[in-house]
Amino acid sequence: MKILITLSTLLLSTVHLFGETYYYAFGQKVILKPLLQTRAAADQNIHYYQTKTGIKLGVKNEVIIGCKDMKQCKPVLENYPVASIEKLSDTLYLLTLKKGSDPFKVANNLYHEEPIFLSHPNFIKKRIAR
Amino acid sequence: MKQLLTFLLLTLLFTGCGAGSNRNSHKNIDYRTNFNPYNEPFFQYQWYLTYTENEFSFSAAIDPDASVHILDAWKYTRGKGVKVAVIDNNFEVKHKDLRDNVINSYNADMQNYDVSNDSDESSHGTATAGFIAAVPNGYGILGTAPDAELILIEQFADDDAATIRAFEYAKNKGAKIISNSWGTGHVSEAIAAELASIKNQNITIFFASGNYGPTLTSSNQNLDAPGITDESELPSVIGVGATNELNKLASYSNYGRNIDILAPGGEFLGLLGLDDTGSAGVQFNSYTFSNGYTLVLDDAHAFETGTSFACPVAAGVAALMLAVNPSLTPEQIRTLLIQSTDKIENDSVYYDKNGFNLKRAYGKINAAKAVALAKEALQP
Repeated sequence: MKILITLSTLLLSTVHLFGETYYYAFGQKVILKPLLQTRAAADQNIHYYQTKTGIKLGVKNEVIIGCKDMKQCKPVLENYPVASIEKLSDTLYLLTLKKGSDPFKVANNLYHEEPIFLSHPNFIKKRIAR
Repeated sequence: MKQLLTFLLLTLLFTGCGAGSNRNSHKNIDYRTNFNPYNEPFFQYQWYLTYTENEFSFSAAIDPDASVHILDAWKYTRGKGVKVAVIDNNFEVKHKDLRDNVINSYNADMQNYDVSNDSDESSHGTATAGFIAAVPNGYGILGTAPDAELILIEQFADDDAATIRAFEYAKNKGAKIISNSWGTGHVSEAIAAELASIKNQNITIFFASGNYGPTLTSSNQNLDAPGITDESELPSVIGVGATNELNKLASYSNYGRNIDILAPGGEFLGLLGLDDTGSAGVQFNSYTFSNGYTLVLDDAHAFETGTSFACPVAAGVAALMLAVNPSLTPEQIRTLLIQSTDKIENDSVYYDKNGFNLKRAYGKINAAKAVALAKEALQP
């Protein structure tokens, strides 16, 4: 049993490290490279990735969606592991996902749903004063 | 008798003259009604607003055309009634050169009004806000639009949701201009949608193009990559690069096809503004030039360099334009700013038939011409 658990953990780590991580933006698939998890980031449940241009992006269990009419989006969202919804603007909403959910999987599936016009993780990135 | 005479002489000396007299002894003057920029003791060093012939300008080799020519714009307006929001990391809200123009302050991370007043923290926002609307009060300097109203929005958090909350707060508080002296090098689709929506609601957004590439260290300062990689390149935004005191392109200024205008950001000498270490930061900022001339300021003012500071100068000019013509749309503001630019270094570099040069965009803004055009554009 112990060996089975260890093997499963290793397998999951391998998928996390080498599986293709992506999201959709402006109609394009954007591929990200996972970065090694630091203890501080793990404590905050944040995973870090790198874009093709070298920008570091953090992801936690939150997704931003664009929805023009929430009446139409709500039934769709009921099929996803959404713990809470915060209205950010007239058309943008922040979804907090249930514990253990994969924000990329949720965001990518929502991207293809009819009433939703954008969907991606709530990216954390360094804001640089200029 | 001798003692009495000495006392009288000393009293006269301390009350009637000395560098600080202008700042402390005119407490009853209404500096807005009796406006004279030179009532501000450091205005003579604000070369980016107007050129002042003095020992400082000579020592720093300032080009007389390096400014945005503000005095002719101020004949029409100083920005009264226009609300300008600044999104930045921290503000010294009670800075003496800011506080009278601050109408709102907000913490977008905590979603409350607890904006830090700590003067010993890094207050990048204090400096950027000062370039827009430092107050006429006889204390220090003037903003580009010294009668405009400021909405100061503090944001440390780096996630997209916090950024959207900050822009929404600015919109809901009635901002007509939002100045942003920051960037991330990665534009999320949600941020692009938010900024487009803000622009559609008639709010003009300015972003600094950045210094030394997207991460402050890159050798590649050309922002032209496939797609939009920087906030300053978005079509919903006016992207601002920097010129220096020699009236040339500042060597650190990022550029690209989607950057619109340049404004003074300084280089070998920065723009005199509010000290971004706060009033209790660096004590008695002083500068010595190569000819030996030394300029001693105070604890609350300092020279600052970067596109961070070019951006609020441009935002302040837009506030002046809106004050004379409140019906201007963000697209009209962009067009008029571009139409009224001065083409810097045009004896040695090529501007295309549309007046564009890749590194110098459409040229350096000219406040006097921009405000005159804004006035002309008023519907009869």
